[in-house]
Amino acid sequence: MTLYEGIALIQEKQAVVLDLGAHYTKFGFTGEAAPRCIIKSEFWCPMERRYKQVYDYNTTEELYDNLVQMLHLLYFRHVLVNPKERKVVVIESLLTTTQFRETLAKVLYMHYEVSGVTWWDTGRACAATLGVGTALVVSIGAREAEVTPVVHAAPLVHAIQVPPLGMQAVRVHLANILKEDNETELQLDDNVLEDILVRTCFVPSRTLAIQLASEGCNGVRSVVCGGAGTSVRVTGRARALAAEPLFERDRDMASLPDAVLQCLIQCPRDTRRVLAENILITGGGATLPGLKARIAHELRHLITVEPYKDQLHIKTFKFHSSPCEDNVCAWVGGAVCGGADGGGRAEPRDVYLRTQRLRDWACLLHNTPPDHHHRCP
Amino acid sequence: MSHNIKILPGATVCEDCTLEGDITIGGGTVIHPRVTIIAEGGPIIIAEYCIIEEYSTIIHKKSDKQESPPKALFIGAHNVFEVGCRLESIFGHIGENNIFECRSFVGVDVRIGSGCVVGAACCLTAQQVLVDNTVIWGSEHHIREALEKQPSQLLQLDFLSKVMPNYHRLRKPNVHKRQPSRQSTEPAK
Amino acid sequence: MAYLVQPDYVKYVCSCGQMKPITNLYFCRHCLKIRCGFCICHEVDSHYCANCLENMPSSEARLKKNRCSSCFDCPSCFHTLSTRATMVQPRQDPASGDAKVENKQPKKMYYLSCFNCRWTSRDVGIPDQPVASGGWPERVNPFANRFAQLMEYYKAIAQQEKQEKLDKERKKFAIRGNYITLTDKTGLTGAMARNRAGMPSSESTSSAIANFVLSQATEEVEELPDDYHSREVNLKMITTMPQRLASPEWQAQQVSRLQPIARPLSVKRSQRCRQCDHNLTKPEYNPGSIKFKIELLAFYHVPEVKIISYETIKPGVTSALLLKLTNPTAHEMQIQLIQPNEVPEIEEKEEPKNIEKSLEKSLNLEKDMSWKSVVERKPTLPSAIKVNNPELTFTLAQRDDAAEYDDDSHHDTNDIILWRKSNKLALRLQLTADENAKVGLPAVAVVALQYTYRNTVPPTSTQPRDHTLYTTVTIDLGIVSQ
Repeated sequence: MTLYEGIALIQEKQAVVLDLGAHYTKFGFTGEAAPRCIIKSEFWCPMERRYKQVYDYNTTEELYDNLVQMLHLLYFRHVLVNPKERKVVVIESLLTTTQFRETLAKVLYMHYEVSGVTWWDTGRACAATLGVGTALVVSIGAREAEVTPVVHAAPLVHAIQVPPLGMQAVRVHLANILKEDNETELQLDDNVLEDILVRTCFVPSRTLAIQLASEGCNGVRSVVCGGAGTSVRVTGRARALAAEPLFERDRDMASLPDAVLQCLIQCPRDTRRVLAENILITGGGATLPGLKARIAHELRHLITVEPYKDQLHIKTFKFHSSPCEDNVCAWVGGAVCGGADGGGRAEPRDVYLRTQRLRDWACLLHNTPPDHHHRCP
Repeated sequence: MSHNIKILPGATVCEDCTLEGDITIGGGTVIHPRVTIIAEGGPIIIAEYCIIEEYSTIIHKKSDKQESPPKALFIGAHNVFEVGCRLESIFGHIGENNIFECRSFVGVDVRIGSGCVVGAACCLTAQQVLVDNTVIWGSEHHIREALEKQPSQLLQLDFLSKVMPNYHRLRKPNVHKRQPSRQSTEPAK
Repeated sequence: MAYLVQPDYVKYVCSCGQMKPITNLYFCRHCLKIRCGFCICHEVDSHYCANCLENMPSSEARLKKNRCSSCFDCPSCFHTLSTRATMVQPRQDPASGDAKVENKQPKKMYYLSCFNCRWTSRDVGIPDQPVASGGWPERVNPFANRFAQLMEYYKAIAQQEKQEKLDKERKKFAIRGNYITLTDKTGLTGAMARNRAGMPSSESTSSAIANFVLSQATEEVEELPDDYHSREVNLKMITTMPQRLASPEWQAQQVSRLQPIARPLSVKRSQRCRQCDHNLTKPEYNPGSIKFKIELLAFYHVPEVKIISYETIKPGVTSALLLKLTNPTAHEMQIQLIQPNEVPEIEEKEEPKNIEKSLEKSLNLEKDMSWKSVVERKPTLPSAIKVNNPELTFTLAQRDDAAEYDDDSHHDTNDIILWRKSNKLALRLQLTADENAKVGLPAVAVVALQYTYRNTVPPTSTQPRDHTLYTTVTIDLGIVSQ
């Protein structure tokens, strides 16, 4: 038996898992516990003589070119396998634009001639790393945070909340604080800002945040950051308050904890309690020290005030931790699931080539129930 | 500017270098040709077993708040100044076992401890203190802290002091009685 | 003309519509078309380590996760680490007493050190090794165990689903009889089917599912220490983002947790024409060699155009452009300049469909041409500048490496041909810029070349040896000025 399995392993090429994030791309093989590479989602564009972001495009054609170049980089510089005749697991947000999906499919199926593609959404993939079927996944990405309730391994699409509270918002806020505190126009590169954010910033606990708001941030140590040539003084205020945009509740109640609770309100009543007891905070942003704890504090506080007090009767919030680094959680989910089914769920190339379109949850062509009278035969 | 150059026995100092002002060179130190050492703001004392390579420049700059008598610039033992580096420090003391890599630049406001490495082409101008065992490298001036001091270049020194005399004219040691280098810090007026 | 650090002034239009400098193009001798990196098929040819130039068979490379077993990169600055040797006096073990006198000889120990940032393997407490290469401690992913459990669990679930599907299908087709066959009753067929399919037996699947421990959610979340904000931050102790991401498995946050990174391998690629599946480039196997076994570069087959000089382009004004043309082939070449719109469309010859063909198609043997629709594009060529082509076909001699030693006396220079020199000639062209050309926009002239080409592939009876080929070239002439 083991012999046969061995042969089967050789015959079926290990699929690759692709998580094309806004800032970082994770790429590697299924069945492995970590991606082979985490690189910036950018490539050297010889025509424009600059590093170009994959998501920096105006036309579909430009996006196509970007994806071709990015995948070339991934396949031949990092993972070193032939894309041809190999399956791919793509991790994507449920809210990826049709343009992006279709172009990515075109690049994979037709340009690189991969033999099949499985599409996994971030929410399900993150939940898969836990082994539980029902979880509330809060994935804090580069551009936005995505709150996805996954119930019995199916994402509840109508309840998904996507506030634009990603690390980009934090970075912009940090740049503003630094500008104010240094009292000069700082021309800080994105990389430098990221470096400052990652190495010095933290998220204070709720009690500390309140204390800092009333007393000022003099108690927080400041630090001088950056190389010997250009140094930036990172004040305590910058360190402690950089992530504050995620928790700012203005009249719109658009903070991240609000988004979580609003998501719960949208969920069916019988799932709310289970979801609240299975929260997974993940994504690259979740690696910020103290962020998870702060979200927990805020949730426990908000549930006691209007308007959630009357609408949600949740007593406890429980949190999971995924068996991987937070920034690769979705990728690892894809690697587990893609490895387990052996590519059985992948849409094969010939099927795609017949129609050249993808199934999508937003499309009624695929989503009308079979007995519905609007369903095309 | 008065020229008062003391070369202790055991030092290898090439003739083809510019030494101006009050300079003391310790035993075992090797100074390659085309080196410029200018002591305009006060004496420079280079301790034992330093290597100063071609085209490197050490200047003790005049400063506005000059003490009188001028404070000496003391460069500790086992420092290596690689090709084309430039040191303009006015702080009185530079520790031991430092390495100034090729074309590095250390400005006036930098204090340097011991065991530091200033990487190739690194340009330190901002006011700062390099604590012991700091390593700076790369165009973005990455900083890290080494666990231990850099290994000393004794083998290289040995080789240089043997080979140099065969190919270069040397300046003769002019201080014959070996004296502790601390005492020579007294300005010779 | 292509430069390393300057923009490309002269670009050729590839058969797929991309515009690239001639040095980035290939020429398929079988399709007689220009190809570029965008429209050809790249393949991994061989793995090698770029540091030690050691080849690694692809199966071994897969086993070692595409990493060299003897070379390491610095985790701090990503420069290559070098092995350094030290003499160590072996420590006298007090327990063994002084019986072993011969042990006193100094032993050579090795550690890794970076010449760029002076990081050493001692910095993070990795013990020195008694052998120069290999033997460095390998770290395993801290989550590997849990990951394996998850994997097993999901595999079991996938298996179960498959089984259920099978059972359902069987039920659908089962003849409802009054008797149960013996094999059905004992479940023998099921077991046999599983056996045939190479699946584990159902007992193990169910046990894998039963034994799996779901992730447990807790109310406590890891909190920062209370005095976190008032602690001093030592940036030298915290890793940067590139340092963390260099090893995705453990992403060390403390500098003291950095580990040498086994150097990732590189690959040599071979490239293939998608149309005819012939190799365009094939590298030599030896990693130290930069030569190719097959190297069909456009540079060797397509006449090269270089700018000598040009007058500034002004709207509505005729200006001069001096070009140099080079024939890189070993055969004489007839070249004529034509307008880009005169380049004939290459019609795809639809071969008559015969029985064989349809059989091929049904067997899925027909060549897959789906890529064509996405890869090939119509290039948009600027038309603001008109090149007044001379009605002249000129001959370019073949490349002759010995020609530079000849005294080149023969000249047939005139108004158009400035000079000739073995396989090169200089042309003077007149350009007319459109009156409506916007000032400040890039001025790009487009020239099409019609040239003869002798195919050097051993000819088959059906193919002629001499061909007339076309190529379109865009020439960057700065910006339109007032």
